This record gives sequence, C-alpha cells and structure tokens, in this order.
Amino acid sequence: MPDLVWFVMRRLFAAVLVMLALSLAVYLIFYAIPADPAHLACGKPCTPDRLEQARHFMQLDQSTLQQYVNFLKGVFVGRTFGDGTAAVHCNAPCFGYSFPLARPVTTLIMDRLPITASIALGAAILWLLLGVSLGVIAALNRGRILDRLSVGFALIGVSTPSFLLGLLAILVFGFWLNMVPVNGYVPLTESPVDWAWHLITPWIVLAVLQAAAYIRLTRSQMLEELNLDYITTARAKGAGEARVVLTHGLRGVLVPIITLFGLDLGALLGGAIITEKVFSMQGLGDLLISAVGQLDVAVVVGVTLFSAFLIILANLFVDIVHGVLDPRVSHG
Amino acid sequence: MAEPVLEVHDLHVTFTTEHGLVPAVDGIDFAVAPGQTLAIVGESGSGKSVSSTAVMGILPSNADVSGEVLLDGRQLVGLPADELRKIRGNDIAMVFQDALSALNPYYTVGWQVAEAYRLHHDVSKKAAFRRAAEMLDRVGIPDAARRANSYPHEFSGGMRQRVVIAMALVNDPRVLIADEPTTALDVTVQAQIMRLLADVQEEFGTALVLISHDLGVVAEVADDILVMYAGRAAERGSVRDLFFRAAHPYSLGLLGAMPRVDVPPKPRLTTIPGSPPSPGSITTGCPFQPRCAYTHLVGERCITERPELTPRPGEGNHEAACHLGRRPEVIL
Repeated sequence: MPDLVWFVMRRLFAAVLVMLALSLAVYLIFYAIPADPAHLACGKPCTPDRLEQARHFMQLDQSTLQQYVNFLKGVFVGRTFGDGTAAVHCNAPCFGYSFPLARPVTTLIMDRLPITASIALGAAILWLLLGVSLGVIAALNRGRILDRLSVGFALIGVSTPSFLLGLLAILVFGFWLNMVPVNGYVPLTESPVDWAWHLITPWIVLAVLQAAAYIRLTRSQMLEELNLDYITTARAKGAGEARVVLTHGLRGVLVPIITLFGLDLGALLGGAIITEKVFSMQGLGDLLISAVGQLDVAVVVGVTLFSAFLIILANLFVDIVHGVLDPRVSHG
Repeated sequence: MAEPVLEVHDLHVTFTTEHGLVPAVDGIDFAVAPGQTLAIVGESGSGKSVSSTAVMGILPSNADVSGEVLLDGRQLVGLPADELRKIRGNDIAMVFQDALSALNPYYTVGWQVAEAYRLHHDVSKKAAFRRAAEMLDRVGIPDAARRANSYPHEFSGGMRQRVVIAMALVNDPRVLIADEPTTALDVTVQAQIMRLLADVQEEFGTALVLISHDLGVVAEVADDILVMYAGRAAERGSVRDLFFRAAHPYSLGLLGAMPRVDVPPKPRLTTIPGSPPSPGSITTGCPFQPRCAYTHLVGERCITERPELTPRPGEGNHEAACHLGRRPEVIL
C-alpha cells in the first residue's frame, strides 16, 4: 500500500505542475484577445476616466505577469479588489472574480457543479450499463441478429449529434407524448423524484450517444477474451456459460472499459455544453459559454482549470483502478 | 486389463469452416482403465488435441462430434449441456499445455483451484479455499497456504503447471487428460511434472490420457500408445509393441527421429520427409502414402485403398493401418 500512496502523491504533484502551466497558457491566450473586459464593466457612454477607474479596480492596469501572480496568490490567500466601502472580497481559494456576475468564480463553479454532476453521473451509469450489456450480448451472438442490432445501434449513436437527439427527445417525449418535463432542474435535496424526473431525458440522450463506444469496445474485447485459453480452462472445470462469460470473460474486459469510462466521465463533469443548452440547465457548460460571450475572462479561466483538474483526476482514478483490477500491474 | 473407465468408439469430429467441412478426427477408438496411461502421439494437426477436447465436450460450436464416448459405459456424446457440465472437471479433468495462459491472470491460484471444487461440491468458499490449499500442497507447491493467495504471474512455469494439475485433481477425477503438459517447460522441470503426474495417478487410481509428441516422455510413463496421423489411428498397441515391434512406417519415422541412448548411436537422426496433410485433403488411399518410404513394396494399393487397422504380432491389441503386412525393415 505505501507504493500506492507514493504513486498518488507523485501524480498529484505532477497534476499541480500541469495546472500551473495550463493556467498560464489560458491566461496568456485570453489576454491576447484584442478586447477589453473593462470596457464592458465601464458601460455606455464610457469616459476615459471611468474606463481607467474600472481597469484599476479590476486590476487590469497591471502587467499580465503581475495579474497572473495576483491570480496565483488569490488561490491561497484570497484577493481584494478596490478599497474602502467599494472593496470586493474574494476569499481563498479564489480562482478569480466575475465582475459581470458580481460573484467569486469559486462560488459560481460550486453553484453550477451539482447540476452538471447530476447530468453526468446519471448518464454515465446508464451508458456504462447499456454499453457493456449490449456489447456482451453482441459478442455472444456474433454474426447473428442481436449482434447486428447492437452494432447498428452503436453506429447510430456515434453518428447522431447530441443537439439533434436532444431536441428530438424533447419534441417527442416532452411535447407530443407529454411524458417528461421539457426543461428545468430540481435540486436532489429538494425532491429526489422530481430531480430524477427532470434529468431522465438528458440522461437517456447522453447515454445513447456515449454507449456506442462502450458497445463496440466491450464487443471486441469480449470476442478476444472468449478466445483465450483460460476461458477454455473455465469450461473444462465445469463452469456454466454464464459463469464463464461474467466471471472469467468480463473481468478482463473491465480494464479498458473503466479506462474509457473514467476519462469520459472526467470530460463530461467539466460541462456538457450542448446538452445543457438543449435542456436549459444552468450547469458548468452553460456558465462557460455565457462567460465567453461576455468576455468574462475570470470565469473562463476558472472553468477551464476546473475541467482540466477533473481530467487529471480522472486519469489518476483510471490508473489506480487499473492497478486494483489487474494484479499484474499492482503485484509487478 | 481391468475394465476401462473411458472408452471411445469411432469418434468423428468435423469442423464447419469457410472452406467447407474439415474432418479433424476421422474415426478413432481408444480405451483407458483406472491407473493406466494411454499416450496419444502424433504431429501437430494429427487430431490428437481435438480428440481430447471432444471427450471433454468443450469444442467450439462449429464442431460436429459423432461416435461414442463412454464414461463407465455412459454415452457422453449428445448429452445435454447441463449434464456434461457436471462431468467436466469432476469425472474427467484436463491439464493444459501452457499453464500461464490456462490460468486466469485476474484471480489468485487458490481462488481458481477452489472454484473448480465449488463448481462440483456444495461447500462454503472458505472450505473450498482450504481444500485448494491442501491440493496445492499435495502437488508440491512450497508454503501452499500462503502461496494460494498469489496470482499466476507470480509463479515460475513449473509451479504454474503444478497449479493447473492441482486444479484438475481437486475433484479426484476418474480420468485425467493431459494435453502436452510438459512441452512449455524446461527439461528438468518436465521430469518433475511427469513424476508428479505418475505419483498422483498411482495415489488416486486415475486413468491418464497423455497427449504428447515427445516419445521419450511417452516411453517412460505410458502403458498403451495410440499413434495418430491425419485424424486417424496409424498404429496402436502396448508401449513395448510400439517401441520394439512398430509396424507402421509413420511410427518408425517418429522413432527414428527420436534420440536414444539404449541403442548404438546413429550418425544422425532421421526425419520424415514432407509435412502432414491438411485435414480432409487426402480422400482416397493411405494418408501417409505421399511421405512413405515403403510404397514401392506395396504398389498401387497405397494410392487407391485406405488401409484399415489390422492385428499385428505383439502383446495382444497391437494393430496397424498399413498395407505392408510384415514389419518393414528400417530404411535409413
């Protein structure tokens, strides 16, 4: 176990370095844009005096490097913009302050995260179950009708854009059949039933789209797995077909599946931009898109870094799970 | 000879492939009694492995098996899958050639041996694991109770083969089929494994079907030998019949290709020219005829008429399928 602790520590340290490099890159990219966030804050008409005041207040009059240093400092000790009664505080960990929204970025992300996480986690569980079971069924019925159907379903899944399927689902199940709410979000803490009821359509839409990759991966891995000698051994021991497939076959398939799953989930937690837009859910993706439209650099940097952090976390999770699932990795 | 525990009569195995029907085993007979060892020898592709997997009933679904496989007089061919499952690993067990690929890398060896036991005995996991540890100890794995918790890749080749043997013997089977159990091992380890097989065979009174192309191993442990060529029996008899009174040119060829210390050394080992025919490619005449050095002594019959097994002088059941009636002089 100390090995594992060391491994995680090393990876987390590397993650911090990656985040530093990434934050710098994102900062430089957004400050290279020939548009001034202070202009938006200044309003219309904007006198040069007021513009200068706004720039000073937002600390945009400092050098880019100094601004970046301020940002880093803010993460650990918090930041204060302006002084006196007009001062704005951003408590540590401060990942920037959104002047258009008048909220610290950290608070914005934490407010939006439950929505995105609700969409992502529910959909992920659905697509994992759907993808793996259809993949196993396809492999066991190779060349037969169930295989063709599963693979066809996967093909439709990968080739359909999410907005199209999302809008169709809303049209059919929301309006025509009037079965599900067409938009909106109810917090889990308020009413678990309404929460799930409002999320069921985005879950299914995302699951159908994402399951495709899992069906194909599971199918090909399972076909390979079933040709291995230890599968023959299991049969020779007198194991029934279900045990052969589920206990001996599926175990080897799980490693690549969990790898894909971790990375997909990490990416989706950073915001399902189109899905959130289609279902009018104010998640992280929605926050990011609005911020880009308003040149709200602080939010863009914050959400980007948060997404990157999730990806790094997902990679770490995948590596750890890999070690747990495959004794050849951990018992090297 | 005692009553045979396993009898095979007129066994045919035909594979349906893209290239049509391929008869891999074309009518063979053999029998083995408790405590006795039958060796099936032949080159790759002679059908020796297919015959044994047919006895186990674990051939792929494109294989068609006909004929009789009698275990204590009970016909196994055509038995429902569920009935066969109860026999596999319990009454008839199998030891595979490559222990590394025959063991599931994701489970501990103790778990795998215990699984074989639990599939046929209604016992707790704990009891089965204890039984597995005992069995691992019996096959000579040092510190077995602790090593039972190790994974296959943590063992050496010889130790892994011991694990496979423990797994096959854990249910005290009546018949053990060993498919080239020592081919993948070092010579010194080969001897240990063969001694282990002989020991447990004596202890449990198991009937052993040894599939091998190593005549040196066969000479030491076998009671009877079946020489297979192109899916048919070329010759069969007691081990002395085959080594001292071989009647089939193919058997002679195999013997000539084997280094021996009990006869004056030859300047060089002989080889059998050519390679075995692909299954089904020879439909008339003797399948060995294209490679046979004795056809000139017989003539046309070798090409037109398929030789059947006919009695030869020896210890009783010595038979060979060759038109050459007398024992051929060895041609070097």
